[in-house]
Amino acid sequence: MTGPHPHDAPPSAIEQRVATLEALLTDKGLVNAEFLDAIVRSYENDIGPRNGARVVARAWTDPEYQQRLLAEGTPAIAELGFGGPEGQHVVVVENRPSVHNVIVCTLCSCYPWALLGLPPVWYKSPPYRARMVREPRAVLREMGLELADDVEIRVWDSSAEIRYLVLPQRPAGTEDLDEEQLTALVTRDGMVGVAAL
Amino acid sequence: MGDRVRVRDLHARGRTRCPRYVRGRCGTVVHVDREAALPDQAAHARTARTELTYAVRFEPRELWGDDAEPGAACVCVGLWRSYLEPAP
Repeated sequence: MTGPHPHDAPPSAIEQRVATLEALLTDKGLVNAEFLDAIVRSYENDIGPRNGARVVARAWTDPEYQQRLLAEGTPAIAELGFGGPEGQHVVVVENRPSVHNVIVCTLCSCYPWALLGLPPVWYKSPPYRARMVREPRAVLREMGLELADDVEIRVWDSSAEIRYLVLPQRPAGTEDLDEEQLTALVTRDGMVGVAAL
Repeated sequence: MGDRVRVRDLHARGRTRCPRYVRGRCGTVVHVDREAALPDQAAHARTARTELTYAVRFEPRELWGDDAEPGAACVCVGLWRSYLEPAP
């Protein structure tokens, strides 16, 4: 679903439209271009899946933290310093041997920015959004995750204001790793629920 | 929590956040989420009613009938209170 993505293509219609809107807003003094750039830079460079990975690794190593996280996600996540836009109301859903969780937003592209950064292109694509609720097993298989028929796939459609984070199962054979080493094992796709770790 | 509900068969003329694929379908409340401004009003007025939102669990056969994909699965959808009514 990711496909080749040419980087030398001319700007798309939506890119041109956004650039024109930004130029107009800046010219009229309604927004500050540097402020916009700072927001974009912050989401491109500072806020990304590493935030979510730290939450997951903490949950794997600290059972009391995990309990707080699953009971009420937002304050437990704030303990590690994360929150803000698209991270103000987070519910964490736990993968188990019999239950696999995956997130989607069928209406647009709601996504836990504060924990995972900006959503990948495939997450925003109409086929992912339509098919994940219709045939999740097939979509996950195409993305490389084969689940037995008796594993319940729980698809969370973020149509209201809750943003979901999947707590993946801790990989076998990682008993000797510390929190820092575990953080490196946690992937964005694992926290969206389209991959196992 | 645990209540059986049906999504009202609403066809808003303006904005709504009630996905079409669950309208008229029955499910079970699995989580009572927070209160939030009702999008159907918030998009069109300066003030909007706030309502509780819920995560409602739907079984694949309820949504897709005989075309449901085989295997254990469910879809949990975030819905505002006024999108819901008690299941018949």
